[in-house]
Amino acid sequence: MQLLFYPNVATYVRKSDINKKKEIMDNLSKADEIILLTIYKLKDNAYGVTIRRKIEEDTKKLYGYGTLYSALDQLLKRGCVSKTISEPLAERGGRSRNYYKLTALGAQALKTAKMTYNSLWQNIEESELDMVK
Amino acid sequence: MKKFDEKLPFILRWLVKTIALNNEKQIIIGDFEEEFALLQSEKGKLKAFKWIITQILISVIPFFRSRLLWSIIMLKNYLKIAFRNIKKQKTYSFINIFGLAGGIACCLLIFLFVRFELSYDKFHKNADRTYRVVLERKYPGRVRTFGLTAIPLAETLFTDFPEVAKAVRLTTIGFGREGSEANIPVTYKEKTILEQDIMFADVSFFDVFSINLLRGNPKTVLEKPNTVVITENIAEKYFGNAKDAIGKILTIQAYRRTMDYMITGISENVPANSHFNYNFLLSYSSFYGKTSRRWTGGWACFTYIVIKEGADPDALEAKLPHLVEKYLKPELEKNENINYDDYIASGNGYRFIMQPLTDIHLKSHIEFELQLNGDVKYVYLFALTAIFILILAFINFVNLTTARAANRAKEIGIRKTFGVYRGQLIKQFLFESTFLSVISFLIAIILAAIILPSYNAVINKNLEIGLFNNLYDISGLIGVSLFIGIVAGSYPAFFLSGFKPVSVLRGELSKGAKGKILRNTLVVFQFTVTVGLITGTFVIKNQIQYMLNRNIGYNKENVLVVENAQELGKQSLSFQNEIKKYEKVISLTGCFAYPGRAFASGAANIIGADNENVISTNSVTFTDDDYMETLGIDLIAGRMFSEEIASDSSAVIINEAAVSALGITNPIGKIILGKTRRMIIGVVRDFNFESLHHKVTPLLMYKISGISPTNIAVRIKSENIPETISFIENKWKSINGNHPFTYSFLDKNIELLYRTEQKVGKLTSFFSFIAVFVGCMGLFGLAAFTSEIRTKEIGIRKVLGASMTNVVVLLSKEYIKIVALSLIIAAPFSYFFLNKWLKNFAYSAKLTVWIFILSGILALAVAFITTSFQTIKSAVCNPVDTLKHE
Repeated sequence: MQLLFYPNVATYVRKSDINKKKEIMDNLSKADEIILLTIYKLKDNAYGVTIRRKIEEDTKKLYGYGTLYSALDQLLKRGCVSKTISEPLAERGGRSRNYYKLTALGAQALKTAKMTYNSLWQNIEESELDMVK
Repeated sequence: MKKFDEKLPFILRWLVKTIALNNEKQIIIGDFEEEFALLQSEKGKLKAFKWIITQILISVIPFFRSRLLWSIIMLKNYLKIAFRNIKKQKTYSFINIFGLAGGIACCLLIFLFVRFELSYDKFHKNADRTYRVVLERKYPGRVRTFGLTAIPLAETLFTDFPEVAKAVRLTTIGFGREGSEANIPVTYKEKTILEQDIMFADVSFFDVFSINLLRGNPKTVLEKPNTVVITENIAEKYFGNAKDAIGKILTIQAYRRTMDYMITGISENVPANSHFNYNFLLSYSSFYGKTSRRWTGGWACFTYIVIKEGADPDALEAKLPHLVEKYLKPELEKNENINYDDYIASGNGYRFIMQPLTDIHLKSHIEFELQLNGDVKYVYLFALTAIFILILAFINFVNLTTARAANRAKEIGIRKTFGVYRGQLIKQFLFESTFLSVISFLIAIILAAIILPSYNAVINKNLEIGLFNNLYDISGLIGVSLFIGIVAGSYPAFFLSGFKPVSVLRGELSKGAKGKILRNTLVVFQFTVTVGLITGTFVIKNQIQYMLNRNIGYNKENVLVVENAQELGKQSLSFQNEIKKYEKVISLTGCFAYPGRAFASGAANIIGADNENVISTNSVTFTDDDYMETLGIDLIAGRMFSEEIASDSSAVIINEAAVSALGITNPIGKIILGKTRRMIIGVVRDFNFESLHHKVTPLLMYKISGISPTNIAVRIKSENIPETISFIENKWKSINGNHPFTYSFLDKNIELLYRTEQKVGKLTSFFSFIAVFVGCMGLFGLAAFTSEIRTKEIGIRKVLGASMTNVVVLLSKEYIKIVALSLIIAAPFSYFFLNKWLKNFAYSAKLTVWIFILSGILALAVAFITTSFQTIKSAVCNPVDTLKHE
């Protein structure tokens, strides 16, 4: 069961995590990668609902809002995305939205991820893997 | 973006709002609503609902977890603050905690008592279907109920009524009032010990009553004649080891027959909360009266039945009169030549009543009980007192906490400026008061444990704080302490959290002005209860003194009663003569009944032979010539019995009450008809042969002839009593070495009649003391607080020339007013209730104004002393110190 609404509690509980500063530039988790990519693809229209739907469209996986929010908060903390609060919208009963935008740091992280991916998959075809018994 | 047609239903939205993270609430709700609407249009309403409900469900647990974590953090902070506050105001905290602890300890002790009393006889497995059958007899003009019933009753009930599943009979030996000395000799191998509480019991005893049999088969252990079951204590006493007891022979003398009994079983000691107690249980087949078929007179027993499951006890009771007619009628007509219908028509009655087993201890007050029973009225009374005392302690707590409020105003103001919600403040104060309450509770338990031994001595029971024995009790305790903490703390919590930060920080809050009226009202209430209790104590003690000292028509001092004198047999007369010669003996008399011992050695319906005035009396006894002289009863007409006049054997002496009941003017020489014709030869002044609960009833005295009396009352000189006792004892031993010499003193026996009242008196004074203590604590705390506030005022007054006395009077005036008000309120209530209580007694001390005045003065004095500590302290202080900050 994922922690859905309370990333703050998680960080409070695992104080040891605070000391892991090195993680900032390295190692995006798979979920982080997917979310960052989606945000990039959505350009100016990246907020909760749209991010979720786009991920479902692209990867056929449905992320719960809990995962999404915690991941987004983590990314925010590491500086990979920036958050803006929109104007109150009538459609949402007068409530605003959080819009997320990719930062330079985040873009670099994505690039590193892609390059790692490429070097890993060099010279391997997808069809080769069907041969494995 | 699409327009959303369907919004989330209200309740779901509310749920999401509550669970959602605090800083992002609105955004999250918005996201959810969008998603919900999209889902609806894509996959339909049902799927949308399913989705949102799943989301909520899986968030609930982490939600609570996070809340819990935060609560723990806050609790640590509250605890820190609570400790700091206690240390800052040591005196007040001390008074608060100990006041509450005292009240709770008192409650605890009373609760133990109440619980014990209510638990009597409930441990029997069949308790809810077990009944004792008692006999109500009507005589013209009065009704008497007896615990003892006819021997054939149990068997008849069992055979004639299918609803009766089990029946058992108990016949006691050594059946005395509580506190009487043991007087049944039990011999084992040449060693004789005097025992009491011995009874014959039917085979079905262990079937009806759930007393554990440690050794022996419960179904057969009381089967054979001359067998006995003893208790653990007895086994240890005689044999040291329970195992060795089986098979040993004990010789027991009962009703002048000595028989051997073999021990066939050992039972556990009878639990304290049982209305009967036994040390030895003899098999009923050994009882020589068991074959009696008499329904009136003769041997008697206690009858208990267990009815079948589902049977209706009232229906059964309604059938019992048939039984009476079936058996009593032929007996009356055959044996006594009494026509049954005439018997009933003339106002007589014979009726069986079923008493539920569990009601016996508290509600049964008939004649011939197995043991002195308690009274349900007193149980209720004590429970009520406990609640009152708890309320008093409560009030103190609330009062002191609000009074101290002003000292914390600054802290509250600052907290509020930092953005603390009022709810959080309330939580903080509730926590503090619960914390204090829990501490008080722990201290109360320790206090109760310390006082317990002396408490047990007063109420003559053996209570234990068995509160940690089961989970139910522990959780009950914790629950109650928390409850008290929360309830007592709510008013202060709401009061304190309502301070406006601006006015507080500016110093505008007039210290102590808030809530003054409420505080004073509470103190008035406290003192009303206290005054009521003090008055009650006075009245009860007064009544007891009155009953013991009133002129009872005879002289009870220095009268030694030799008991079981029938054991002297034919030599009784010579024994009496020998004793009479002793110089320390003033006079003596043989008798069967004497004041203080149930005067029911015979019942007779008397029909005045001259006119048709029928009186019935239960007080008939046989005495000899010197009865009046020994007891100091006045003879106002006629003469005493005399040895020389032979016709005295059919003579009777009556008392004034009998004369007026018979309705005759010149009683001497008249003939009355009971079982036989008797001539009145003398009239005595009324004397209280029963306790002062009852008015003097008609009394008949016949002359003893040819039988040796069961008691010999000896009036002795007050010097060197032990010497007299040993002289009499030696004379006894020289005549009858087997049966031990037992005696008692008349005045002690009379005192025993009022044991219940004495117990009540002791307990009431105990409670009054506690109430006064708690009330004083409260008053002390309040006085301390008020004086603190007014130090400036007092300083100024002193400077302006007020003397110390003026200041003390000024400060005390307020408290005197409070106490005076309580007196005015308490007086009518206590008068009403105490008057009702005094109606229990046929003869009572008058309820005079003096008692109220006395308790009023006492209350005032106590209040004054308590407050004077503070008032004098503040009156003495130097104005320079208080005013130097101006």
